[in-house]
Amino acid sequence: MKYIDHNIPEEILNIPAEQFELVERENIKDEKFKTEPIGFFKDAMRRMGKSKPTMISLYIIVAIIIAALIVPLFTGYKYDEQNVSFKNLPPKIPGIEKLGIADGSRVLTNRKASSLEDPDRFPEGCIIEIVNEYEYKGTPVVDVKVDYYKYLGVPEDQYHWFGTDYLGRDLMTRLFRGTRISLLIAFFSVITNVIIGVIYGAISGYYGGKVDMLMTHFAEVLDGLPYIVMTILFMILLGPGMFSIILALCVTGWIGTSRLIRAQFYRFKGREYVLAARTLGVKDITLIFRHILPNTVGPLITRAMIAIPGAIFSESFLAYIGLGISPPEPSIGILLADGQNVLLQYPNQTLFPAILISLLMIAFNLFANGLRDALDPSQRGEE
Amino acid sequence: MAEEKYLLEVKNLCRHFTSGKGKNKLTVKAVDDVSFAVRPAETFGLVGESGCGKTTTGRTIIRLYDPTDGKVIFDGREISGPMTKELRQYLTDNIAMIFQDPIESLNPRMTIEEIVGEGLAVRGMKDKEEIRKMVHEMLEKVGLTEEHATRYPHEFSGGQRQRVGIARAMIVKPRMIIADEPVSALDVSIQAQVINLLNDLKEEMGLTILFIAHNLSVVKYFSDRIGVMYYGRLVEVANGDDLYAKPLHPYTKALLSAIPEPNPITERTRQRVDYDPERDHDYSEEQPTMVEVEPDHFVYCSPSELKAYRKQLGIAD
Amino acid sequence: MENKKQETVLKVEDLRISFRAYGGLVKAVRGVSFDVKRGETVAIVGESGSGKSVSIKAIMGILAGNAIIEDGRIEYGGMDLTKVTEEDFHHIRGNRIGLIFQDPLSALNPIMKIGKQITEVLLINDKKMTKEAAKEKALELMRAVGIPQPELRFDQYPFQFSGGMRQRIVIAIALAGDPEILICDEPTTALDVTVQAKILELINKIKRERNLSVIFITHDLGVVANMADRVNVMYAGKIVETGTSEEIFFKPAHPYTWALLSSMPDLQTNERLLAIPGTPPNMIHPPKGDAFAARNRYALKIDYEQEPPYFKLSDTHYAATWLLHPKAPKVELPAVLQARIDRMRKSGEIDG
Repeated sequence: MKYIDHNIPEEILNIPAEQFELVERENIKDEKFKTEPIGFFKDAMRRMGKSKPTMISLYIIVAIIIAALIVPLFTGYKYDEQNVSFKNLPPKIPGIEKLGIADGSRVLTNRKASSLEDPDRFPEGCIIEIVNEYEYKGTPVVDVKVDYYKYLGVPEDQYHWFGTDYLGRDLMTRLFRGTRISLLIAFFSVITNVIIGVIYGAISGYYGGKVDMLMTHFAEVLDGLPYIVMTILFMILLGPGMFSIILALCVTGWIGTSRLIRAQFYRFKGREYVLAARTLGVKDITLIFRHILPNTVGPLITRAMIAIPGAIFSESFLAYIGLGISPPEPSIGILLADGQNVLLQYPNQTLFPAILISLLMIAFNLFANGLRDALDPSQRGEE
Repeated sequence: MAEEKYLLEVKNLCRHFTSGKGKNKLTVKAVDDVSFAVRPAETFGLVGESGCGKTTTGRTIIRLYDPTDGKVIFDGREISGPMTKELRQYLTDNIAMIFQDPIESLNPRMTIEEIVGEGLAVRGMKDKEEIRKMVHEMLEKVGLTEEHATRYPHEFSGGQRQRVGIARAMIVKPRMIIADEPVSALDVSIQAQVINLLNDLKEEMGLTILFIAHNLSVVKYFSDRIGVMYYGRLVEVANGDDLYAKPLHPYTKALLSAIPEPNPITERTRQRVDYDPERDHDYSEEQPTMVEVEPDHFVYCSPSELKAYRKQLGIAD
Repeated sequence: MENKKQETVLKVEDLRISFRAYGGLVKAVRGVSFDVKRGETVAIVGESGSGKSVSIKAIMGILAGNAIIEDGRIEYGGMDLTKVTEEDFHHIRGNRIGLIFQDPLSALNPIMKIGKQITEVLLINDKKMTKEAAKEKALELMRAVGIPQPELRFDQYPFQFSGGMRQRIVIAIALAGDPEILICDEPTTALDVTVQAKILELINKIKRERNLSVIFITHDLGVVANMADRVNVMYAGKIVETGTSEEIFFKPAHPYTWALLSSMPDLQTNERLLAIPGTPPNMIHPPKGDAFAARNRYALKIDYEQEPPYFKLSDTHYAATWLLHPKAPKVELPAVLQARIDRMRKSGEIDG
């Protein structure tokens, strides 16, 4: 681009005259769209697909859910199959046992050196190495690392990947079955909370005024009651079990959702497009469900996603204080509570449920964050 | 004077907003004792600065807000009474509204076809094909094409969105349109498109329009008569040329003197007039009322001010 | 024009800025050049998306993260502002170039007292200044921008101010660093007409008193007539016409300027408006040739082929349109516009 003074350069002066004809056009129309129409959710999914952490956490969540569904079917054990003689077995995984990890070995401490020779107490071939030798009151004592499976006489082809618990139940089966139950409890309590919260918040936010005041005060009073006491009372009233845990998690769990929905309704009900629909004679119920609610879906899904690990954690916490579901049914919380009793002797019984619950919580939180960003309408069409 | 036939009559309309309770109770008189009337097929402009109550007036007429006091009469029927299903139906059949913000006024989760067709669906039209046909015709009228119908609002430019808003209001064939700042959020070059479109539709459909805006140039261009609002009150009503040529109320004068013109010569020498209600009026002894100073020219003034105004216009008492 | 105003304080040369976005690079600014002399007001007029704000943000070094300055220079005080580090920019922004935003509410910190917001800038810019001196200076600034009872207002919060008063505070803050250039980015768009008139008067008064250079961004030609010595009209990332106020308003040469001038009604307009049809082009794929061609009533064949150069009309007046080429057909100004210009000239003669 250049400035030209009164001496117009040759190459510009020499442009053929026919180039300077006026272009005749009838009507100048709006530009045609060059892009494909794209719906809101499609657009959100496309943006979500671009975020690595979100996708990784989504894969983790899906993997855990699949595992929770099928692993208990393939371990070959039942979650309530007891075998007291094989209790507290360490992890033993075929394949990597030769690497020295998860090989079913355990160090036994303070054994009389002489007893090592006794095949009744130490079956042949079970001793791997002697870790430590010392004397106690004149008697030689040893710490000895043994193949615990051989030591207890577990059949050669029997593997417990995560070990067994204090009743000899396979931990892997119990962990994934427990995950299934924890997830079920979480999903159901969150869905119930969302439904109650949406309806309550929508009514309270849409109508406003006195209705809103009364409903908000009721929620506040409920929220003010001590959560644990409420839950315990509930559990005593209904007896232990999955249903009562779900109910217990719903006593106050919906309040947050309803507040969120109420705030969103306050934000959106004065929007011009809602007013426009009102002037067209659109009914209240249509306004709520077609015009306002869809705009709250983003924050709502995000909140629900964050609530799921919260519910899992609450369930674990209840189990921990002895208010879990009834045995022998496992849940992550119950496994953690059981494992915690023997944390120092058999850390594997706490470790695996702890890893799983951490994974679940991190994955759900990351996924929720990714969803929030993807569903944020202000970021539409951006990278 | 013979009783004139008006399509819309607004009589002493008040809309107050209250907040707080007891001692802290605060009442904002957003619209305070406003009266005006609109003739059939006329465009009445309502002009004023932000917070003067012009938007509230429009929204109260179409019953997005309930009036605190006063009456609104549409074609001989009072529409300010208690809201019934039947009244809502009457209102939506007769009056439609165009909103200011081209982004905010379209639901981001609905396609253009759903947005424009909603008014028809609400009226009990079941046949999807027929709705689609009517939507397409309406889109064509506002200069959009069928191709646009399946798109979402965010894909459109501001002017296009505003045209969608106009299509939505027009498709139900209302007798009156309340246009609340329909162009103020648009770019200059697009404003003219929308104004021209409204003008064409007005003529084609014989519409009556209540045109609400803060830009006096636009209001004057578009309207037959203009009402100037200041802090919830209507201070002067006149036809456009009279208002421009012989403004009476000091606020109207201040407003006119503040409008920038695309003329560097006059702009550099422009004399602006300030308006200060405390200074410009003395209402300690006389109460101001809305008076018709000359035919079709109303001013909110006290008797002594009226005398002065008449003198100014050269009218004998 | 007065001859003393010849010293150029800021010079923008062939600035090109793009934004990374979904779908490709948005070419927001495509070769913009202009300069600002001491004590003059240069207006940049354009619609949203024309690149006017982006150019200004580049001068202030506050471009968004996804912006790329592809080419060009911004010469100021012997520096090229496109290459200055963020740290140096802190100094330039506060001290030498002041900025007034469109929305005074979001430009102020809602939970900080007005007085503190002004003194803060003073104290940052002059490390040796005492608090008392800063307060004195702040009160002086508040008086200068026409805040009544500054002593009382000093301890108030932004929400206690009206829109116009807030904008005055923003101007006071912009002046606190004693800048030599004041950039106003649509400073009155959010304000009422009567308030707008007062703010514009204030900016003009301050400019005269301090011999400031003002860059005034707006879409409102009425405001431009009031403020500007020189006007740059922007469309689709380019300046399409540049000239003095008189030249732009009375002898416009570019069809886009014509369209802009005749698309808005003034108080005397009765005839049908000449709307600009269509919509601005998609700047991810700017059209070949003249970007305005698709909406131009007077488009020539060559407009679709080749970008027009700037043809000279006078020493200060250039326009980028092929209509000025000697071989181009003679096109009359639209009748509406010609009528208005005649009317304006007449009214000017009577008034002046």
